Amino acid sequence: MDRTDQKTPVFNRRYKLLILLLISLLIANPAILFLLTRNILVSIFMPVLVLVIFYFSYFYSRSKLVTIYLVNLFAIISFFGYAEVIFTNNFHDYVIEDLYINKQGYYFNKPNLNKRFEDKEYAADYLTNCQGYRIPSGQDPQDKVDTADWLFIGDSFTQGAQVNFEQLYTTLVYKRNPNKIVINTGISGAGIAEEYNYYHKEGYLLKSSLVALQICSFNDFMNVEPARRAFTDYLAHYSNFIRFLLQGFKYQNAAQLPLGRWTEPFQPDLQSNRDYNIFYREESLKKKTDLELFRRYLRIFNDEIKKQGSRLIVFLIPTKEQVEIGCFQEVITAFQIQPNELDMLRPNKLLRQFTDELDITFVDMLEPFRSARSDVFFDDDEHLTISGHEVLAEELSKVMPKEPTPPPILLSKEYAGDRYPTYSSDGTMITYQSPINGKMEIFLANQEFNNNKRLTANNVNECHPMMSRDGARLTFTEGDPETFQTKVQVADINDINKRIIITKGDDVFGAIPCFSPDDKFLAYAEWQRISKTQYSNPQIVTVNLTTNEKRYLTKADHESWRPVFSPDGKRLAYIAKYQKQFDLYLCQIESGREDRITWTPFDEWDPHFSPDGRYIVYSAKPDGNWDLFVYDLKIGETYRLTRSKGDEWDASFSPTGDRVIYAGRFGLIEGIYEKRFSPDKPSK
Amino acid sequence: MIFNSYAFIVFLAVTLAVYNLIPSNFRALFLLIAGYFFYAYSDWHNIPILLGVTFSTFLFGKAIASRRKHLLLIVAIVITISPLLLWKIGQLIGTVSNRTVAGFIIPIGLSFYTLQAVGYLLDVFWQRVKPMNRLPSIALYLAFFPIMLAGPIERAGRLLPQLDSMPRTKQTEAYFAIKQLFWGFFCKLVIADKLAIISSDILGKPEQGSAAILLVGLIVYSLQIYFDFYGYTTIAIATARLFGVQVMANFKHPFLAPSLVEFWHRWHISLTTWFRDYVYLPIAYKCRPIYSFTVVVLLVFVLSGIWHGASPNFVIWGGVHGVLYIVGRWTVETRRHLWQSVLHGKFQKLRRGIQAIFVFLLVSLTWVFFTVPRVEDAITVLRRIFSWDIFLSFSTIGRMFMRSDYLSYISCAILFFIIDSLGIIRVVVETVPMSKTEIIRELVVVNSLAVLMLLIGDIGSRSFIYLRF
Repeated sequence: MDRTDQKTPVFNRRYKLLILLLISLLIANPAILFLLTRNILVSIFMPVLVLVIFYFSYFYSRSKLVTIYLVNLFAIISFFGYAEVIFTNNFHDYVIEDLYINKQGYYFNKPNLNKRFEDKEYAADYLTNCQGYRIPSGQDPQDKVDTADWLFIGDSFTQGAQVNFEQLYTTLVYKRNPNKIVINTGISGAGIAEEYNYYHKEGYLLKSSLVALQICSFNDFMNVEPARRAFTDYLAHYSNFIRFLLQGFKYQNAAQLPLGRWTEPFQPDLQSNRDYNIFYREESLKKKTDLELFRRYLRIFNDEIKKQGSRLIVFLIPTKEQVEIGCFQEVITAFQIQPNELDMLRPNKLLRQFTDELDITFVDMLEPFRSARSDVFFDDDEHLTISGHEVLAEELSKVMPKEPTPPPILLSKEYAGDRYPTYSSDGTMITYQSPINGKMEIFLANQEFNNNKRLTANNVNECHPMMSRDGARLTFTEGDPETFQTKVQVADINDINKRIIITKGDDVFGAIPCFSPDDKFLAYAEWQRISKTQYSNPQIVTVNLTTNEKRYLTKADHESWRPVFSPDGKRLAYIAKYQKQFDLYLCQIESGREDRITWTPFDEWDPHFSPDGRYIVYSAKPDGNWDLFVYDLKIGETYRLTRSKGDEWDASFSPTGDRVIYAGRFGLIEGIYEKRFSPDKPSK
Repeated sequence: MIFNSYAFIVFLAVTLAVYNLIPSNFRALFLLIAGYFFYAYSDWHNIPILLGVTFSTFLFGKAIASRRKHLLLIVAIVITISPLLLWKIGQLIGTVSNRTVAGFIIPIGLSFYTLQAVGYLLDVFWQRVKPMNRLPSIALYLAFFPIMLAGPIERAGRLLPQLDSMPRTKQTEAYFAIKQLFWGFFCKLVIADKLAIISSDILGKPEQGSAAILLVGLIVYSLQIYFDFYGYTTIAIATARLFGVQVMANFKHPFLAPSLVEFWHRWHISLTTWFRDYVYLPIAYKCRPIYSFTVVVLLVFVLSGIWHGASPNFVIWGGVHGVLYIVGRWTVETRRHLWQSVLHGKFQKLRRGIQAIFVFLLVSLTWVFFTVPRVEDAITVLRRIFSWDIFLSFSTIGRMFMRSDYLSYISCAILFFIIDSLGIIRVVVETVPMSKTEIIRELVVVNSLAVLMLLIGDIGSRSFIYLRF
């Protein structure tokens, strides 16, 4: 045996190892893995793992076939990995966005969506917050909701992607009951099984007192099981390339359907009608099973809701074919269905029977839709028009729980970020702040909140507006409150850029100013910069607008905020934090005597005097959310003005004293509201 | 539980693992429990029917073995098939009265395990098999889950001895069976389910399609039903194979058959041979030769039609096939002479090809009674196809194939039909590749099946056609 022969096995082994290493690196390419996962550990660990698997398989496996199949399997996966990276990076225009995320047993909106859906019949904005709930334009997507009064669950009819948030029936229901947190969880294609799964796993956490379940005659009666997620669906969910590949195969386009529109549950062939069309009289095992499952899901849904101390309302959206005779004729003619083969009231009758058995309130939208004055459905699209949403909201409002006192009135026309409303002294105008392109700006509106006029227009925040009694000037805070570097300014209301800075000096800051009743003084909270990052506690300050003379009414050893003058100008109400929470204080301006008004273990905020000076309206947080209270200075008693799950704050009285205007947040909607206040009978 | 579901994949993996872990004398009992679980998973209400048929088969089997009386046999058969009869009558009432009788949706698998039970009783009567003395053996014979829902309809003489031995799964058999499962699922998920989209689109609204389109619809349906049932059978055979049980083949390239007679020797073989062995031969044996053939064949085909569904369309379907079969048998010599005189014994492959296409078209046309439930509608479709319109409307086919998904599905079906017909699938499934060429061939086939299944296969989206019979 010569030397070469002796070296061959070692050389072969090294050579084979090198080949294995190269194959492993090619198959589990670290660069591709990093681009796919953005994870360095995976990018390093996977090639090593693949190499180890190949090594053991190649050198220790009894069958070469095992190695071949392993390499083959990894090679196929690797091919798709390469394709994904190349497609995503070089063919970006072809990437189809995925709007949903798969969850266990259901799917839901992707968080932070900002889409616009356009069709020949509609155009609508579709935005979601960080939890995937639909939000109005302008709302901060990072705002979360953790509680609800009324939870609406349903499919695309509830999702209403064809109309703007403001036109959705759930928003319209809210508008009629603007002290309720109404959450819309509609998802296209969801059936009762998925809706139940959503509630069972996620929805119940919102602790809503009422759940309104929207049913329609196809999603809920056909394939009544949680939608099966084929492996492909998961692939398509995570891979732009696969989604692109399958575009024409897995997902039907309405234009390719027999009538150029969705006609479900009506099917072009007899067997599908037997199996899936709830209107079709003829039974099949599939349909029978689906109906049994539907009934079962409705029962367990109701049980689960009851267990949570909540109540279920069910409402049925009819199909276009039930409402519009033309659509009915079109479908039966095209699909060759005899009218006597159909029972067009069957889902309605079945649902009434099922809900009666379970003692559930049932709303059948068939008659209201049939008698609607304008089209409730789009011509081609199967969903509800703005009118459809209005009719639906009208009908649902009839069955929603009523409260003994009339609900407040929602003044805002847009549902995001309106705050700090105050009336002008004659009560004809309201100033408030609202976000525009991420910056707070000041607006002026009339009593009905129409003819809104934007007063400030620049790239800085302007907030906490208040008009002087004579209506000629406006005082407000300028700057970003988050930075603590805000300035108090007074501006001419007709020339808003003609401004006086009240908090003069680089290290002096202030916020939330208010005019005295005679417009001669301004009160606000002022603080100074002590070091680069430290600031003194805010103190309540009054400034004589003629002489610029300042007077500090509180000390810097504790925080004081939000001063308001009494109508006689002799007292100031404000909040101060001596210990753990803010309480309400009253200061006699002349003597400087400070009296504590509230003695609660929770925060109080935002005081404002009634025009007669007897009451102070303020917000407090006794139950974890902000509600409005009224303190009667005459008898020293506190009355509760609101009791809701939302936050009510920034309250102020109308000049007549019979109304309170305030800002609020109800779930994912923010706005300005007005509530009647009866001085003789404040509600306890 | 149906094969094309995730539940079945999990069930199969667990059942196979437990089967191989437990001692051999418990395996039959375990498979019986698994079979009942498998059956109850679809609808547990049907369990009493299965139990009834099982008890009836077991008790009458023993009784027939001890007293071989014709009357006892008739009583045994009537009682055993009574649930099936009841449901068929229910179906018939529903069809005649044009409404579905509530509760008369045929229990899944009943048509199949009833035939297996009757086969056993007759085999015992004719002393082809010994009666089973243990109820669990008969119970497993009827509830062997790979074949209980839609066949293949096995013979007692073949299946019972295999269910007695119950060996551990062999590695090579498992390797073959897994490849076979792949092919079965592929036939169902990628070919049949996708062709179903096209066929239901065309045949669901026959008035909209031109004559040529309707013909295409029937051809597509023909391929669909073949791949659907072929896929089902392949999965069933592969599943049984994992448990060491060899089940009879149900298909032998039926669409390559040069005659209708030959077609019926290749299509749904377990049912055809069942009718041959248990209906045709016993009757024909007792009747005169000429009449017996004509009448008995017609009777068998009509019965086969009724077995598929107790409604006029299935009776007509069976009857039409019966007539075509008889005519085929009568004219076999004439046709042979005709071909001989035209081709002088040459171009045999071409002749067989033309004949196969003719038979395929003929069979495809008869499916109209399967897929279009109303007889008058089915006849309308046939009338349109056999009108002059067929020649004028061929251009409309092109329009249909403008849809890329339709074109892809049909191309895929044709491609794999050819691959299967060439025997490539059988070779890949049934061999361990040794040479480089064999390995490459296997990888190409397996990868194609796997990738296409992952990309467009939608597990559980459509039920198997034969599960409703």
